[in-house]
Order: sequence, then C-alpha cells, then structure tokens
Amino acid sequence: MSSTDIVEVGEARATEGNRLVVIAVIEDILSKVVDDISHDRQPSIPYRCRPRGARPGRPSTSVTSRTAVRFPGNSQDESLAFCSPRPRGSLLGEDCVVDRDATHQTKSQAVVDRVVDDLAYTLGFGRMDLNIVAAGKGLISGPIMIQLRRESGVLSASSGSNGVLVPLPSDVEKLDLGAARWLLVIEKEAVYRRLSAVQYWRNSAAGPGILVTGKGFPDLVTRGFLHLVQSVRPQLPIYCLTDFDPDGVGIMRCYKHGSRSLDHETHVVVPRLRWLGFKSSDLSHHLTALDESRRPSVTSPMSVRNRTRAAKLLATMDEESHDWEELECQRELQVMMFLGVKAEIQGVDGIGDVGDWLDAKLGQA
Amino acid sequence: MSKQYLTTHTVDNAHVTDIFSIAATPRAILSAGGSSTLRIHDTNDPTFPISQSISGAHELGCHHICASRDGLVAASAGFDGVVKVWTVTKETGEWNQHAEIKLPGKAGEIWAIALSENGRYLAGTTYDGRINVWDVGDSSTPKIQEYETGSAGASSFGMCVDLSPDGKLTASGHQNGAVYVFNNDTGRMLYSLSGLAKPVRTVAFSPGSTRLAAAGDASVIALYDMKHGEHVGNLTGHASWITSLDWSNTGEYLLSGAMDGKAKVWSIDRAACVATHSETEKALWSVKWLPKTNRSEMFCTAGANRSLTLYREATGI
Repeated sequence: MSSTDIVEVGEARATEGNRLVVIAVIEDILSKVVDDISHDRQPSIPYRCRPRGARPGRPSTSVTSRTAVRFPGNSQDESLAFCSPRPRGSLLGEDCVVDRDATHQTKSQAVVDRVVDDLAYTLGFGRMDLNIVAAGKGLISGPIMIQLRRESGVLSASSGSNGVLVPLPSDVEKLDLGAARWLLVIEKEAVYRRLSAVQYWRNSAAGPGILVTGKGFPDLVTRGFLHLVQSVRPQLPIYCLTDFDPDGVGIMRCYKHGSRSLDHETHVVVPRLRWLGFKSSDLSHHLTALDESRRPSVTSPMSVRNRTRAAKLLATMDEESHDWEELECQRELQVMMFLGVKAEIQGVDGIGDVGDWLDAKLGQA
Repeated sequence: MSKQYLTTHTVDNAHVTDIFSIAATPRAILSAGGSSTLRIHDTNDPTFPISQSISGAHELGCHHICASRDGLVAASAGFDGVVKVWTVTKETGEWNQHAEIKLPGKAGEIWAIALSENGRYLAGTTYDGRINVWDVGDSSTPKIQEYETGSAGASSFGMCVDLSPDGKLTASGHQNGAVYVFNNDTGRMLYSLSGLAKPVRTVAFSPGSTRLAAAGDASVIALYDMKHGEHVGNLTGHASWITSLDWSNTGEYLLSGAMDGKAKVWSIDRAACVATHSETEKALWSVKWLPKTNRSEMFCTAGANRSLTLYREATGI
C-alpha cells in the first residue's frame, strides 16, 4: 500500500478555530442577557430565520420573520428557543451532542432541527461548528481506511457486506483511499446493499471504487464526509446515481449544491459531483427495444405530486446558467414532465444487473 | 406505390434545448421548447429564417404550442402552468400576446392545448384529468365548458387534446389509455373509446371531423369513426412510443412521430405506411404538416435534437 494514498486531514485545526469564535460569540450574547436581567430589561437573543426555499435572486417572504427571541416569548417556540442551552454546553465539552439527545427534551425532531439550524444560521456557522450534528445514516463500502481522532480506532470500509456507517468528518484524522479510482453515491439503500454485497467496489470493470449511500435525502454527516473526500482528493471522480424522478434530481442537487434552507452549511457540498443517471436517454434505450416482450416495465406514471414537485424544482434553477449540468437538470425535469413517467434504478435489473449498466456508465464517464 | 419525401431544409439548433412542440400557419412555423423563448420561422422563404423571437414567453420553458387553422391565433402552455394566447398582425407577421390563462389551485395546471379553426376557442387538459374549453376571442377568456373524466382523485392525467375543425367535438387522451370525445354543443361526453391500454400522447381529428386518430406508448395508431364512436382500424409499424400525429390537409395521409426519431406517413385508404424518415435517433416530440399553399406537400419534425427538419414531397416520379 503506497503511503502517498494516505491523507492527513487538517480539518480539526480549522474546526477548532471556528469553535473558539462560536464560543466567544455565544458568551457575548449570554453576557448581554445577564446584563439585561440585572438591569430589569427584557432579555433578548438575536435570531434569524433561514430562507425557506425561495428562488435565488428573489426576495424571500418569510411568514414569521424574527430578528430576536425574547423571554417571555410570544409563542412557545420563541420561549423554547430562548431556553435552549445545548449549543454552549456542547462546544465546551469534548463530547459531540447528537440530535437525538436533544430530542428527548422536546419530543419533536422537527422542532429540534428547526431551532438548531436557525441558531447556526444566526451565528453564521454550520451545525458542525456548533458541535451539534444530526445522527448520520449514510453507509460507505470500498477499499478505504479511516483513522478516527477520538476513539484512536481505524474504520475499514471493506469489512462486512454492507460497509460501515459514514463517520463524522471532524472525527477523521487520516484517510486512506487505497486504490480507489471513483466514488459512487447511490440514492437507494437497496441498490447500495446489493452492489456492496457483491463487492462491486472491488470487481467493477471501471477499477476499484467506493460506494456510498445517503439513503434518500442525505444528512449533513454524509454530505460533510463527501465534501472532505473531495477536498483532500480533488481528482477522484464522484458520481451520483438516482431514480429518474423529481426527488432523484432533488437529491443529486442536494449533494452538489446543498439545500436552500441550509445555505449556511458550506462544508457539506460536492460541486464536482457528476450525475451518472438514471436519465431520459437511459429510458429511451429501453423503450426502443424491438421485442416488446423483452422491454421491461421500468417506468411508472408521474403522480400529480411528482409533477408539482418537478415544476417547483424547475423554478429554483437559473435558466441563464452556463453550467452544463444545470442546463441538463432543467432539460431532464422538462422531459420527465413531458413524458409523464418516472423510473427507478432497480428497473435496470430487468435487463440483467445494475452492475453491467454501471460498468458501461463508469467506463464512459 | 410508395411516397417519397426529401429533406429540403434543416434549421440546426433552432432552440438551445429540446423542441417540445411546433405549430404551423400558412406563413410560419412556431416552435416552443425548454428555454423561455418562442421562435417563429418564415415558411415563405426557402431558407426558413427566423422572423421573430419572443423572449421570456414562459419562464420555465414551454411544452405545447398550437395555432388556429386560419393562422391568426396561437396559444402556448408553459411548465409553470400558464397559457398565453397570441395574435398575429397580418401586415407585419408579428405576434403579440392577447391573453393569459392560469387556473387557480393545485393539480389544476393546464397541460395540453388546442385551438379551434378560427382561434375562437381553446381546449386544455389538466394534471387531474379535466378538459376545459375557453372563449379566447374574449380577452377575459371565460371558461365555457369543463369536462370531468372521473370522480375526484380517480381521473387520469390529460396528456393530449384536440378540437374538431367544425368546432363541435373535443377529444382528449389520458395517461391510463383512455380516449374521450365530448360534444361541445351539449356539454356532455359523447364517447369513451378503448383500444389503447397505455398512455395516449396524441389525438387528432381529421379535416372533415369524421375520424379521430390516437396514439401513444402502445406504438399503434388507433382510428375511430366519429359518427358512431367505433374503432375502425389500427396503423402498426412504429417501434417506439408515438408522440405526435397530424392529418394532411386533404385527410388522405396521417403523419406520425416517435421517440426513436422516426417519422412516418400513412395512407388512410390503404391503412399502410407509405414513407419512413429518420434524420435523428433522438426523440421526435412534434410533427406537423405545413398548410398546403402553392407548393408540394411538406411536413416539419422537431424534438430532442433541437432542430427543425423540413421534408418536401418528391415529384416527377
């Protein structure tokens, strides 16, 4: 194993710097709260709501646009936000607070997510800078070894038939990407498990690679990890495989550009991600098979919700973009709507194996 | 006897992305695609130059465009659910917006559209399977008919629509393979036609309003008699989803376009294909005969290759 494949990750230093800045900002805020209380003034904490998916370039019209949180608040949400002590505690301690811990206090994951994300947005940092991270669900398999900071352990993603859980990017001390020549992010867990079980990452005709799944819309841990891989190994091609449907396009764009409501999370995007498919040209290939009996039923009709979602996605895209993939995204959504069909990656199995299709695709890319 | 058509001209890169729909008037071809621009090409000039570009017509792109037979009115439907009605100034050939239609609420977005012979009426299908008819002669575009094709939630997406030249009938094709014909005078469903079990992507009335052609993912063109609603024949030969149909001016021939890039001309009398052309292997989204003037018969195809391809009937054989 060549030592040049091992990458020392210097992320912790940058993270530590951000952490100290966040601590200083929060302590300033708390100091002002104490001062307000001692002088009988109403204490308040600055609080900015995130944009809710408005189109770039257009002003967001937030229904409840708050600039400060007061106590007692006008609503339960406001009081709850004021009393949330978790960010500072998590920053001062060694342990990372996982969202699920916070959930026990409030019983609602959605409330936790909203409050934490709004706080991160207010302070101008990402969640991970606050040392609050949603529980990760992504899986990774391939010839990759990850040395962790805290546990002084090594994760081997080639062990087991399903790979391992994607680690926190901030926990990664060393990355050994081995002989990997590509990385493939797969939307569907079922497809990932099938490819992982047959060790496609080892046997691919395109050479050894890495498989990752975010299990649908990806969490920040999975996205942050992919961002890390891209930054330490910029030449490694990273591809994305999704269903041919509006959610598939949305998931691919989430990896590549992030989501509008989480724009303040900057260390979680993979701008060089390339969309491998499933696309309409893959669909056309099946549809023109001469023998009807050998033409698998890979498609299903788009529902009204699908169509509405596709139109909304189109509306968020920049029509004047000169980014080839951005224009391709628009085109694919339009063709999807025009045909009124969607297709699942698993449909490819009907003609043999998704592995064969991937071999061809990775070979072309 | 076989018919032969020659590729007489290709307007390469007529649009920056797919051309989803074309309409033909006696003097122009109107085309719509994934960008926000509508394009008009002059068919009186052998080089078919652009005579007008309407920028920003449909912000999210445009999937359907149609014109009245008299060539004075056009309508376009965008991916944002907005329909615009356009009128042409005879002297200059310039098109201007005359009206706009947008249905309120969810699932009611307008999809396919068709204009009556003189452009007075516009028919449109919706996401939730309804067919509306508007009076677009009136600038306030009042809705004069709304046809339901099933109970709420049970209707199938309306993929295509056509108005008969005599204005009496409206036909729609749906994602579940259904084809419906409505009587515009009585406001009731006249026929529910079976025969295509897969999505119906295109329906077209014959010039005399006596026949209806329908086609889609079954790759077969079904022909129905409008007097009794009978299924009178099938035209087979396409190997891929059929996306577009258009009758010739005399009703003798039917033009079809498919997703494998093939365009076919069918003789109605012989129920046979008399010509097949494929300038591209990419999907054809729209095919149209040009209204016959003082030249030989011509048709135009457009689709995923972003070009307008024009064919002229070969003479002197």
